Amino acid sequence: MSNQKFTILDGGMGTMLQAAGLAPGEHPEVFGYEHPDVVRDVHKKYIDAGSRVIYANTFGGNPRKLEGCPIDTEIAVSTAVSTAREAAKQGEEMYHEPVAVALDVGPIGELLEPLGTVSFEDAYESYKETMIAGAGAGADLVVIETFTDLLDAKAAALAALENTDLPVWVTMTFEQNGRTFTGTSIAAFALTMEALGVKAVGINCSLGPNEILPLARELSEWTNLPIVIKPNAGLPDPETGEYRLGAEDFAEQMMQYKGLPLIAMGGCCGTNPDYIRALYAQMQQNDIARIPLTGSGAYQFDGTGLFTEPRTGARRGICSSTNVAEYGGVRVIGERLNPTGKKKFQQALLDHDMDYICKIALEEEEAGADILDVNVGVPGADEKTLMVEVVKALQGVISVPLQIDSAEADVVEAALRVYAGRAIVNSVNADDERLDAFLPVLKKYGAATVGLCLDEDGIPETAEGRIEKAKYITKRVTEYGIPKSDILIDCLTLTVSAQQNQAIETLKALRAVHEMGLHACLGVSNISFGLPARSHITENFLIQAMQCGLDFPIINPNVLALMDAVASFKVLSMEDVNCESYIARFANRNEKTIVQQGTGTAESQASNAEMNIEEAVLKGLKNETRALAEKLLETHTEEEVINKELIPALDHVGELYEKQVIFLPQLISSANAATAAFDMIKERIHAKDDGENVSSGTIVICTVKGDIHDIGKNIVKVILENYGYRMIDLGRDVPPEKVVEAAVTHKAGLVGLSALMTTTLPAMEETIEALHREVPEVKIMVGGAVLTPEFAQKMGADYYCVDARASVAVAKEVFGGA
Amino acid sequence: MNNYHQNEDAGKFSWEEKEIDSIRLTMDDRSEILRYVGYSGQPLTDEFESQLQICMEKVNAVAQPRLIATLFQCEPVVVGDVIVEYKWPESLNFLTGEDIHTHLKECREVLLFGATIGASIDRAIRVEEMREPVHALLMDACGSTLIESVCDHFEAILRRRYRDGEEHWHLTTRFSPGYGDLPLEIQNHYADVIEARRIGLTVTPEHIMIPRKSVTAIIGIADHEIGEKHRSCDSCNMNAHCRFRKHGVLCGE
Repeated sequence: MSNQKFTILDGGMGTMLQAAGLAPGEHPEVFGYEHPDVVRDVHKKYIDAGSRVIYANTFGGNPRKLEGCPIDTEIAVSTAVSTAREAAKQGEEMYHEPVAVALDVGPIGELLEPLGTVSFEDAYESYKETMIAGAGAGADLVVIETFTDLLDAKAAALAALENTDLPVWVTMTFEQNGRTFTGTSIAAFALTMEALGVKAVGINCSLGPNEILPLARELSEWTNLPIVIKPNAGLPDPETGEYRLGAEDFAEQMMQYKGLPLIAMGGCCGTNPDYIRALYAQMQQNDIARIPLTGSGAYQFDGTGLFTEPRTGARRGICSSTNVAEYGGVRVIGERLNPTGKKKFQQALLDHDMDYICKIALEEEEAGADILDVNVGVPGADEKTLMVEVVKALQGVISVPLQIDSAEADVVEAALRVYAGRAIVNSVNADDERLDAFLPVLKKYGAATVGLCLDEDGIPETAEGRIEKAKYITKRVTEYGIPKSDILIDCLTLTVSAQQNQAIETLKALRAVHEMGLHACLGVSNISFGLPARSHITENFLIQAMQCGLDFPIINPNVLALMDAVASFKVLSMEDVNCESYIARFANRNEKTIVQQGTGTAESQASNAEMNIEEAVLKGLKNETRALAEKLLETHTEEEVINKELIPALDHVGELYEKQVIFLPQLISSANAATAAFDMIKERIHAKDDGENVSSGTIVICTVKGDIHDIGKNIVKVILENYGYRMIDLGRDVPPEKVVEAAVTHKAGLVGLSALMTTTLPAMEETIEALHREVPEVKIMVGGAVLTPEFAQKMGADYYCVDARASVAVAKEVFGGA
Repeated sequence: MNNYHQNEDAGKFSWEEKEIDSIRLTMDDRSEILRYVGYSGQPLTDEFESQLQICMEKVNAVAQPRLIATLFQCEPVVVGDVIVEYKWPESLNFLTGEDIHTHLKECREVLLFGATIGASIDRAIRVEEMREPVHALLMDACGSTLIESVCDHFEAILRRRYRDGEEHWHLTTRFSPGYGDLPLEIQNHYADVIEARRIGLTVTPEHIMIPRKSVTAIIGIADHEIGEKHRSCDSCNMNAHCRFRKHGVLCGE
């Protein structure tokens, strides 16, 4: 006798409403408001067929979707929930069994930043309205469904969890490759949602039962939560456009889910009451009991009663929306996103230069870091605002998960909130004050945490002292309901040149922590501070630490020797099965000619002795241009190299471009090559006089509000940078007030605005007006495919640039020189 | 033509999904990519050729072409025994302006489609902007070329199907929101009508499609040849690698 039991959900609503007269493109919620009887009838048919949870007609019931409709969110949602409730009540009277009404929440239908233009906060506010209306109208649970973007789903889940007391289910829509349209993986979805505290996760839409089955199996590996499945009636038939599966076939395929930890199943697009009836019949034939979700009154669900025991043993780890760093084995945490002792990084933070920060992050990721630590603490900036800005920027380009590094609970909370995934927090320690502030945040977002073996009195000098702190942290964290597996104890590295006896204590403590079944993390590099040839000590300590159980080393992944040590360790520890990763890593490596990335070498200088800097720029050769500039600096000043070599070279390239001797990619390659030399020279000047006065002038640049085309803007930026201008790039979709603010803050002499759509030209005009009004002294240049010189003038721009090259002439005119 | 689903006046138009999903850039697309980056016959270095190759491969690796279409039936208005015009279903009334009406004047069916090559490419280009701006530029051009290719292949499939159908019907060229006086502002409703969310295609409040490499377009279907005769293949710069002829049709057929 099977002890399995599911509840039965309903089937498709859209298909049913279309049959009843809903026109293509018409809002089902508006239709439902005008024809509640039709919707009630659909619900009733599903209940008659066997559904015991019905989804209210609220899928698009949010303020963004209903913009311009005759009804608002409150009316749309409350009408739909009441309609469903009426049907449920009739059903309960007829079948003497509870029927639950779900508030059905679909995505707002616009992509979130950075792919789209909607901010996480705006998405949240939109969902919040729906949730409040739905809970107010008496829904029994919230089902967030058909999402394809993890961050979007997180905004909806938080809106539900924070504004209602209802249980929350989240089901996302995957492609056959196990990813959503935006790349979210099944594991990342499961980890992130379980961390937030939803009651069930699942998969709906897009595919049929057969196609979803392997995905559901994968999902069940990554979560201990019960699973909800609502497939389509198969895939569309290429001949007829209809869904391929009939009701009987659908129901039969659904029986393959027997044995999986399901709480509920139903149908999505293409299914109708016949499918649900067939499903119920199949369940009866297969000894699967149908259970209601509501007892008396309010719906209660704690997962028990559905399975003989609550499930355990799901795979665990931390994740971004696309990548999981699974627990078990060594996972390298990159340490470079940290301003401590790094002037350029500090300046980048103060300038909000996200490109600089993202570039470092990309270097770490490419070098093989599994996780990136993010620290933005810099005097003179608001850490919370900056942390949110950096996390948002990073998750637009970085695939690996993040570790949020801050001593302030509110900074950590703000970061975890907008993070599309499940992060590590760095850090708590045995100080009760810190624990009291951090634990609620860790719990709420389900984050993992680093626990430093110290407290308000400092770092214990002995291993025993540190182990005690580790035990105390573990006690406090687990008492708060956070699993032990989410604690990473940091036994602390002290500098061996100052306190030589401490390395042994750290290793001893590490071994004990490992034996306690805890993860261990450790900032390794500090060990060699103050010593010559640091890398030898660091590498040796890293290896010993891993041997003692360190599984989350925090290191600079761009130091090849350290990553090689990790790769070697993974072979010896059996993590790298069949040495596959090791062999792949070293397959094409010629051990003798490894050149550290980012530094010009004497060799390349010598080999290019024949080439001059202009040729190197023209050919777009980065390393050669830099090396040649370095050589010139032996006999010339920085200013001479810039003004007499690099700028003339760029001018020449520009002329060739104008004459169409070369074309755009070559122009950019050349600009890029020159950048390499400029960066090197800038650093030298910085190092020399601590000054910052290398720039020929400051230019603020952006794509205007509503527009997201930025390739042209980026080209202008690269080119101008090479003429020595300090470029403040505000990105795309930038509101006028932000442009004004940046022009004032950075004392810009010139602002460049880009727009590529006729529909965003009004935003450009508005920005120009605001600038003229607020910062009358600043000059404005505009560019973009839809612009003409006449139109630019009409809008009040000072200059029109036909292409990137033209912006150079404008800058020269505004700032003088060259 | 009855190999599509007719439901009242609108239905999903369908095709073998892998015909669209598997479309990628080929060497034949090179010249079009180069056109997008302003190429006008300059000598190309080996270095550039290999960069272009890398970018095409990167785009091919992350591209996920998807397409969705809805077919509308127009109602013939008969005076005596002559059809004087075809009346649009009400659902198409959001298509405003004279140009689209002129374009579809003699059509019995109207097909609205949306196509995208997915969001991953947007992200890949963003990453490349930070690493290698030239690659970002080339990948952007590759993306534009690929989405055009997807539309061309789809149109060719459509042309072949209608030409080979019992009634040998003919197609208009593609007409997109933003062409002529068909306003871009209809883009949002357009996306709702074709249920663009099913392929991950969204529209911002400013009417921009995201993923960026996406296209919406309208094709009319008539029972006789419409508009100008198709261009001569000899004068076409796609002659050597025409996507239409690969499917055995001509672009103006």
